[in-house]
Amino acid sequence: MQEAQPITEDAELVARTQSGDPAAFDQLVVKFSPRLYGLVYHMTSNHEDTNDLMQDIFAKAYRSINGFRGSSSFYTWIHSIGVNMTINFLKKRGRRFQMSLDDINANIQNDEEFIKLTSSESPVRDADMKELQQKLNEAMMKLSYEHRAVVTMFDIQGMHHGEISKILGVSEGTVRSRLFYAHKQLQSYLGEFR
Amino acid sequence: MAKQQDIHELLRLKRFEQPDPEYFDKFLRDFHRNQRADLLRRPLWRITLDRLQNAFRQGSLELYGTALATAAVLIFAGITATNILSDNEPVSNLAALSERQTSASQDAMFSINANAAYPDLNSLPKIARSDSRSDMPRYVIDARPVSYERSFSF
Repeated sequence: MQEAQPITEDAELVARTQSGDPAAFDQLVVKFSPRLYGLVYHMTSNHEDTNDLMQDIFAKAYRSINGFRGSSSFYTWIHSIGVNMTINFLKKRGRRFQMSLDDINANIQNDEEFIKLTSSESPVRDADMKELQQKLNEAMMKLSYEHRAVVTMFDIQGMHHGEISKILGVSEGTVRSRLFYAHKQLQSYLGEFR
Repeated sequence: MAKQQDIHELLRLKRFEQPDPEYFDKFLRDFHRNQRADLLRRPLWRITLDRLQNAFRQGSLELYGTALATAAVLIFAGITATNILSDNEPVSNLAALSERQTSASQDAMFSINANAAYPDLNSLPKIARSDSRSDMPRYVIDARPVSYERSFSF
């Protein structure tokens, strides 16, 4: 989680970027692009769109970095840019989307957490992975953009309510409410896997 | 609540949907390339505006303080020099004015001669005819009249 990460290091990299050191921004890109990729990808469910959006998000962040005053962490700030740009993109794109089901990392078969989740005690033990991914993607795409953003950040990325509320600029109560309704919707879509 | 937990666990599976690690190296290279391309696409005025905004935003005005102060002194010196030069202007103006008047009178005379190929004698100023010696041309050498007589009259 971000709390465990040295925020002061991010602040230093931001300060160096603001003073005209582009290499410092490169370090920020390297550090945050995997998490940001996850956020954008699970909202768009398309690799190409995610790639384009990631480029736009970091380009915008670089252009606006001098306006970043450090009232929040860089992590919150870049995620806020990412969520807003992705929601705007989705509104323009409409309901059209393509599944990208080949992006799953082959190495996860050995991942401890993955094994635990798909173990014999798991409710998803008999589910075909591709089918499961497809169902998950379909279910996610049926959520509204705002609900999808909350589910992505909370359930997939493991953020806390407080972090999500800062990123979205809404209260924690709103975050909890959106999560509740999103989970209710997902339960109905994914009923067969329960 | 158990159902909620199932949903949560199902969704957690999606966190493994990540591209290969090489993707992020390529991403950074693409990002640099796009930045360079963006710089080439942007108009010069936009780049200048951004740099000015950054300069003022960063408070780096002090860095350019010397240059700004020099520019201010040069502008002040220029204005002062202009004022000093403009103090001498009446003399040159008078010269220019008299030159203009001379030129205008010459033009007027030329226009009279040019417009009238055969000038109306009545329109010309009347010259009082008399036989008095005062009407004769006077030849003056060193401010002393030489003679009122024609040179060919011996």
